[in-house]
Amino acid sequence: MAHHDPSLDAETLRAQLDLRWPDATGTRRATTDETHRLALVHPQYDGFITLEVQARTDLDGVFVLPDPVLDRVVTSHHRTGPIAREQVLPIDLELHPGNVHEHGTTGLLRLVDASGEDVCEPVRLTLGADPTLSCVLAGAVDGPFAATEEFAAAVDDLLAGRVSARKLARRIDHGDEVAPEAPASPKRWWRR
Amino acid sequence: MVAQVTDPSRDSSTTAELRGELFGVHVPELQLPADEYRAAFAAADLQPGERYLELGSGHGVGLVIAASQFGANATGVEYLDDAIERARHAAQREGVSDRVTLLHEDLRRVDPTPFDVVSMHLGPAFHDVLAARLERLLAKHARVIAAGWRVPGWRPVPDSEDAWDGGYVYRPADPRMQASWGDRFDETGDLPYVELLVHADLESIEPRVDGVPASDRVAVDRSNATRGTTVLVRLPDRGELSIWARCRAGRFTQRGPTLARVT
Repeated sequence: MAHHDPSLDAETLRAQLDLRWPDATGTRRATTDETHRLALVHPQYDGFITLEVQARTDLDGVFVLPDPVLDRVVTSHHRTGPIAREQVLPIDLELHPGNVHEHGTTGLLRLVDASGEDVCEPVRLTLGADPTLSCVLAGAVDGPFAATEEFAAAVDDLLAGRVSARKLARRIDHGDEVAPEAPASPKRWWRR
Repeated sequence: MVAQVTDPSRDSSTTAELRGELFGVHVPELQLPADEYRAAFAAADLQPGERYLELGSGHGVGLVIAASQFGANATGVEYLDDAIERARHAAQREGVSDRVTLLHEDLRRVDPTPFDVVSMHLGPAFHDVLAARLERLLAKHARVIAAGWRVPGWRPVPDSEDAWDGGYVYRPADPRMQASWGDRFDETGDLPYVELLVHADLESIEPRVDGVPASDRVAVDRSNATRGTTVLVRLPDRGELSIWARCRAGRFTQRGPTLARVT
């Protein structure tokens, strides 16, 4: 018969059950849904793209510090206050009409706690514009390309002017169509 | 720079505020089409005479449909003057001015207490910012429509996703929607346990067996929990396990009924 000890704290109970909180120590106290977010939009796009942070340990709060180049283009919105481990913090990245340029902008978003220390690896955000687009999104973690290297190379091509936002968006759409993991749902598997 | 955004009285932060700019969101693309509003209201079972609140009411499309086609008394909260004016004209044009109220306010400050149905079509972060306030202040029967994006941690009303695939319908103040049982793990030999999925901030969690308090017999890995987290509950040797939980302030301070039972 099992022996129940009601005084068990969370860590002891989890240890008894052979479960551990994921990566609760070290510098990676949180994780993001994507390490590199790409948004290709109409130059006058006026809306959100989103990012999710999941806490791996209890945090007092998370704040977004964008590179100066991104700070001029996006406004982030999110809840403040403590975040319990496992809890997801969504961050809205608001784009403003006319701020996103054809040849692309890229930079890092640092996610820090109240003391200014990073809670996870910075997230790269790349933006490009074309008047034929509405909004096409992709990401390095769950994006449409088979390999991360392929995704990074595609972004490099955009930033170097070797490929237009329109062509890259078409390639992403094609990747979406042929992705074997794509469910039948109209809610596309890698878009937000 | 970081210290500027750590004011504990604030419930949200924006980089625009960091830069000292005016807070505001103007996102025309987020205006929901009329068909989506109708489908959302049907999924939320909006009834004639009920009070409808739209957080970020834009040009008033939803307000006019709620008032003219569903017989509701609609209130819109909007930040932009020109959008409020357009909504006012739309209500006049459709002859429902007497049942449409427009407020120029910060949607984070509006009191949702008297409303039966609340709608928001914002980004997921705004839904997240508003969630705790709605949990605390809405009546038990109130429904929340979140168009497009989920509210992190909340559990949609069963079947509502089948009724409308454009978003989610919640009852965040209904005790039955504040926690649910997740996976049960019996295969761990003499340490079987079950997951309790937490959908609202819970101030206390008490295990019961056959309806009797059993904190001395059943271990849980947290005595309180936050929306969007999971509590592990070790299963008792015999009897039916239930959990009694209490929410934080306001209307949710009463102890709720048994949330669920493992069968």
